[in-house]
Amino acid sequence: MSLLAAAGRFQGRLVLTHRDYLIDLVRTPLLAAVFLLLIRHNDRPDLLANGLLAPVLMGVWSMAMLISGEVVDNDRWLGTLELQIAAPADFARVVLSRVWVTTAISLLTVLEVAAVAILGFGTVPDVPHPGVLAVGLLATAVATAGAATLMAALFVATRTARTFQNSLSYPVLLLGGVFAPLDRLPEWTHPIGRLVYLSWSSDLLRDALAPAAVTSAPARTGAILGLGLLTGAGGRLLLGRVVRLVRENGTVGLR
Amino acid sequence: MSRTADDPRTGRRTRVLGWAARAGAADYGTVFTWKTWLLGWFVRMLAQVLFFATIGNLLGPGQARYLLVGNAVALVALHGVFATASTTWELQNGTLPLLVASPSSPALVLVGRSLFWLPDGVACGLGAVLILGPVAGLPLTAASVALLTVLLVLVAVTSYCLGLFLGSLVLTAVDLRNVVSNAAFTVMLIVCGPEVPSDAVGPVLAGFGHLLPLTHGLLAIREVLAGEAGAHTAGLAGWETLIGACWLAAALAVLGLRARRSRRDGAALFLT
Repeated sequence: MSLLAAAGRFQGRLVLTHRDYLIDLVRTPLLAAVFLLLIRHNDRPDLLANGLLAPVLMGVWSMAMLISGEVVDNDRWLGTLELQIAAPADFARVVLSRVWVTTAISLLTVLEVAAVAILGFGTVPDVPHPGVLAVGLLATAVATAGAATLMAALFVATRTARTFQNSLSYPVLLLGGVFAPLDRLPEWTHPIGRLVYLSWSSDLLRDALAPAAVTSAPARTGAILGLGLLTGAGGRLLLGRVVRLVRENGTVGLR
Repeated sequence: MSRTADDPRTGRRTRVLGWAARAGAADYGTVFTWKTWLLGWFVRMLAQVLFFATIGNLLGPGQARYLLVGNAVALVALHGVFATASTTWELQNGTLPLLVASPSSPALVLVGRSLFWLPDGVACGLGAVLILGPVAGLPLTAASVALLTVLLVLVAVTSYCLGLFLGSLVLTAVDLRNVVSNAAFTVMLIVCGPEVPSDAVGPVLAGFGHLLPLTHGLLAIREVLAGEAGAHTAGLAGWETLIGACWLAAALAVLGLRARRSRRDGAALFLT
């Protein structure tokens, strides 16, 4: 527990003091304004849930890729990677703790978007199924942490991953149906899209904001968690392998 | 006597600009190969336009096309605004003190060092219109594509001038470079018309949008793609050029001021 607290305190301070890391907390309210303007201008109040959830999911995903994904790579730049690998604490647990804190901070976007809707557009979001929303957000956070762990490991395992860091934004957001649901895309994209946890998250969270009863909530939550845990486990395995490799080869600071 | 192209000072400035552009392109070349650009960066840009076009498809008739054009042109502006970040790379590379100490103008080097964004942005914007336009039923002719290309280059240049200005403000606040450029671009999405017409955001924000690059250029492009190119389109392009020139002048003024102050007090790092 003390390890989690220490890693969390460190990562929390890093995110909140390194100004470039605030990019998504600055951009999300502006993006919320973009989507809410689109809805108001086209007189489509029925799409309010889409407009509210899209900037949140975009912010959460982006912070996972930009901040959590860089956790290990940044340690290498800061020169702290060697010390962490030499320390008795399990390296993967330290990384996971830091990813968790970043994911938790990214959920601040929920408050930001609600504030833009209320203060900027005079719209108080209606939440007919608060339980489903809370569970859906929590499951999304778990899955995001899983994806971020995999990215953090990939950044260290292969330099090519970093080239594609920025490229993982809109293709994933499109397939994740964060505004327009996946079923609006051609049918051949559906099997690929369903492998992206965001497609399950966005559908479930939108349903949580709609008056109709939510169907199969446990199974859909399970799909989000399953995909998240699968990528997280993959990330942890890869991280362990990379650490073992650099220890054996003595190339911690050289890779 | 007026200066001509033969003026040695003009020739020297052109050479400095050319070398700066080559250095910037070399920087860029370390990030992407043509394969990673095409399969990574270009696909990501296409996905961004498709993301908004799909939203348009959900919003109602005609919106997919409106958002497709708006966001394809906005991509070009986004690349221009990226100059904010790449202007600060000189400080990160440790070359800024050398520029300040050199006899040529640091501002000139900074104007040239991010020019690689321009062809990148135009390629992404034009590629998005050509590939995704037919899907959204956008009628394209050889003449409209030619005019579109010219106007995209114009938007790229004017947005680049804004990017340079913002870059001059955050030159020594390197950790703000991406926050500022991303926030500026998202504000442009709101007030410059890619998502909703500027009159939909109220008079104050619309007025602000008219002072930014992209607004007039995008309106001109919409006229061209609607087959209504004419004198009004040329007027809009003129306004876009004027606004870009104003932002360039502002960028040069700030960069010049910071360089002079830095040289005078010996900080030589733009730190004052």
